[in-house]
Amino acid sequence: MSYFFEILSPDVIFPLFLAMTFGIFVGAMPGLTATMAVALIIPLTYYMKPIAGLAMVIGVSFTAIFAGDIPATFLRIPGTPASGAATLDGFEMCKKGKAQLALTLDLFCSAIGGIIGVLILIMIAPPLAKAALSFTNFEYFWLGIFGLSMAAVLSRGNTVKGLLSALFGLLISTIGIDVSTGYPRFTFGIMDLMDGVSFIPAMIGLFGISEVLKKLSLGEKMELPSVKVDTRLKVWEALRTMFKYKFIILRSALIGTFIGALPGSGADIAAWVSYGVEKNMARDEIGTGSPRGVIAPTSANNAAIGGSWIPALSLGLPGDSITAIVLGAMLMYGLKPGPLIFTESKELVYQLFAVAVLVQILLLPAGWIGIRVFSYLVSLRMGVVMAAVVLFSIIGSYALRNSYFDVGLMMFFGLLGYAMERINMPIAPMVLALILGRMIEDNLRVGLIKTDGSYLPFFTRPISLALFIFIVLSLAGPYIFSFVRELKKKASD
Amino acid sequence: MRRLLWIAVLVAFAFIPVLSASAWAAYPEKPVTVICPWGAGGGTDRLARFLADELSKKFGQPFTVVNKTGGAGAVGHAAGAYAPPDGYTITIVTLELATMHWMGLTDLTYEAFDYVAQVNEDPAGVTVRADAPWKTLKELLDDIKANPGKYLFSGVAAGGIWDLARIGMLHAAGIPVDAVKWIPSTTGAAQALTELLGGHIHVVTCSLAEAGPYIKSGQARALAVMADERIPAFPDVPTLKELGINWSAGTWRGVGVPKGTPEEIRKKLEDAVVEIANSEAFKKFMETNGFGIKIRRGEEFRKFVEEQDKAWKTVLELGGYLKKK
Amino acid sequence: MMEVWDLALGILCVLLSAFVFYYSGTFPKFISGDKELPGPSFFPRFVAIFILGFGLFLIVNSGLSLIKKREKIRFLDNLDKKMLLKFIAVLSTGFVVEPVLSLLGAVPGLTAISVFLMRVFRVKWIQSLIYSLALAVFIYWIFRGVFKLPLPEGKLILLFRG
Repeated sequence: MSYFFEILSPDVIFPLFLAMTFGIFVGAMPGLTATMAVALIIPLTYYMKPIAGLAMVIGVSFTAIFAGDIPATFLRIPGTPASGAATLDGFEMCKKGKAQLALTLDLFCSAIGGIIGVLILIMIAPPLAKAALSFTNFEYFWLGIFGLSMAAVLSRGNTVKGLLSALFGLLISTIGIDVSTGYPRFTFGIMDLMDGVSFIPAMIGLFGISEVLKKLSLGEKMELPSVKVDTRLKVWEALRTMFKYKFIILRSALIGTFIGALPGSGADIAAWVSYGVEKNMARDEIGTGSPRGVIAPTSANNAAIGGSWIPALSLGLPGDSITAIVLGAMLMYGLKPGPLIFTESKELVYQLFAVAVLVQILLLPAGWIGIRVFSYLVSLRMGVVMAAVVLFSIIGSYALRNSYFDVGLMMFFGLLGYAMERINMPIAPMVLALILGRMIEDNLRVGLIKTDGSYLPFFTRPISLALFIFIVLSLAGPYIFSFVRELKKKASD
Repeated sequence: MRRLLWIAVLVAFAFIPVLSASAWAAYPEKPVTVICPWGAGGGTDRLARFLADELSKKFGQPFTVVNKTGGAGAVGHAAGAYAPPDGYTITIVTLELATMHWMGLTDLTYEAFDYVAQVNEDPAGVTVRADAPWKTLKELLDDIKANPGKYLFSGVAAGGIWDLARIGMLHAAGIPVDAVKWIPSTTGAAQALTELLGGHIHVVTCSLAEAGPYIKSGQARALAVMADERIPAFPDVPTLKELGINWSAGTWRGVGVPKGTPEEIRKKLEDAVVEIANSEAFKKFMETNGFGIKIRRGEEFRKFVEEQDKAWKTVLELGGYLKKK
Repeated sequence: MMEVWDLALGILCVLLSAFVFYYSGTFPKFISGDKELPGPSFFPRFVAIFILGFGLFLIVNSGLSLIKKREKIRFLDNLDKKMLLKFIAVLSTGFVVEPVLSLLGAVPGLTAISVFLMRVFRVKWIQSLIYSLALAVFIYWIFRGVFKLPLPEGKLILLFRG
């Protein structure tokens, strides 16, 4: 039991509290994403106790996702991509003068959604890990492919460019020492590239610096519009509304957890899907400033975070870009995410679960502070925030291994990220490919070593086959669906 | 808002470092950098941080750990070797110093260092699943001889220490090294052990320390340890030498300084490191981390590294990893 | 406008895949037992084939619609000179950070870089000085103080100390 109390000790609680404050700040700042918040906080956790570091990461991710809804409600600007769906009814409610109600609902639903997600994580992850012991290279190969295909298909916008983004990521991931021969590939004699492109500097560049460049190029006024923000919370009204819509909360949280758990899709997609589900059920009501339209996406996006930890912990497979970074960090802490983590680091996993629940409770006061502080933040000049982002990006990527090379690398990826955004090429597939690339290639090649070059087991092992069919269906599904609908339409004409 | 700014300014001034003139004194008179060629949070990093803390206490000067990773250890070792030989940069040297130049990853050899002391050694083991058919190493080796190419070994990436240990063992036992297949494990022993417990591979040759939790929980069994003497944590596991195979292999870690560092300084560090390595705190630290303690003083350590360098060349050649020049 | 970018991207894809094919020719083969298995060049080439395919698709697709539109091809329409300079300014900080920090030391160096950036972002002089100093001290405190990460001390300060 004593290790449960360890999470209440000052050297865990204090960083956790700091991280949640930081999460509120970054999440509520439009353009600064939750993913970026996690990427920026990781360098601070290098030298901490693993549980303190993980607590910070968990704290940041949940609070940032919630805080993203604050500007979404007030300004119709999503603070994080996951708040995209929350701008619709939230802002409508704000226009009707019900901003406080919307945000109170938002805060409570985020906490409840978060708790549901974490509870499902606690229930599902250990048995899944046990089952995953029978997984080997063939299955992990397909899981990697699945993660990648989801990312490319679900990335809104251009599918061809989404796939290209993933392919570029795969190509970059082949830089470094080769798994079977130890030969350094595409390193051009640069020793810093021998272990591959460091993921965290690449990430910080793609999400942080590229955003700064985008802001610069848009020539946006480097200031946020100032608003008069009323910060009183409408607790009772919110609770009454929530009781009325309790099943929507549950449904959205379940959808959110499930989508979060799928490799490659995260909180943003979860929010859109659950919003879409509600919209299908009450077409007229949603979109006009209905509490239902606020409840659904906000419950779902926080639940998705818990969901994304399921494959991360039990399979060592990132559920979204946040857990992709977390996986890298866990290896740094000396933890090995994967089926054995529940025997090897049992105490830590339980501590992690406890922290995740604790964060949901702490989210209430932290979120309340966040809503209050937001009015101060909007008075801070954007230029100052941007400079801070650049500075943190530089030091953050330097700190990983005391390498100025990584700082340059980070800047390169910043420019790359900006260029990609400019030509409507989504960044997320590349980030996933960067982390999944090695997994896909290594498992393919090692699998082939095991089978003396035969590809058969990739299709004949039961789980492999099931995964393969699942991938084909999920890729071809939409097309078959619309084809059938087309046929029906023709038949009825 | 204005008040906030004032606070910011005050805080800023409070933190401007106070410049203090330091008096001339014996080594060390300024902070010392400890280079760790491996990433933060790993085993070598934890060892480096422990040693740095203890050295700071002993010398009253901060010893700061700097992780210089990359190039499979080459970056950090090179940074340590080419630093000014004044004793203000010390390096945690690891086994890779004796293998990586043979693989063509760097030009750096063991000769670029002067040696302070070795503090750790972890011998490789031969670990199988608890329900595996082989009860002794001999049964396993006979089976391999009878069925070449059938069994899968793993533990680390291709050309890594446990791969080399396996090659050396088979060679010493008179079995062709390609009689078993090496399955590269990219994230090291943990992944290999997962595969072992899942029944996807047959033998793991990682250190007994790494396999320890699974051996103790009864999921895995150790058939042998590749050491000169049995190790205290697993007194029932026989050594290869007892079984008539003349081979021992494992990882080791120690402290080195750039070649040409003044002998007084090296000696001072050696005494300090050896004293730390003999302390109770160190024993406890190594036990919790599952590391074995092996202390070799400077000259002895140097000879050991020299032998290692030769031994690994032969093994790398057998495995086909030797870069031909 | 988008078509031009697509065309450029397509050409880039073709060039990239050609480079991958050429360069991976120097990678060693991988022989396990007596069989040759997919080696270091297998996966990069596999990826490059797809990149080539999509690249050609983009070229054809955008080329066709460009011909249809007969639009004047312009690349940098709204990317004016001033903005380009600002871009370079931001990106350059990543490359000057080493000399600046090792010369000035962590706090003064970070402050200098931060002031520079804030000026680029059009923050007023006094404001940027104050914010930058606070920011630099904050970063120094977190990384050096709390997390014991070594940041450069600065040659100038060492000179003063003798």
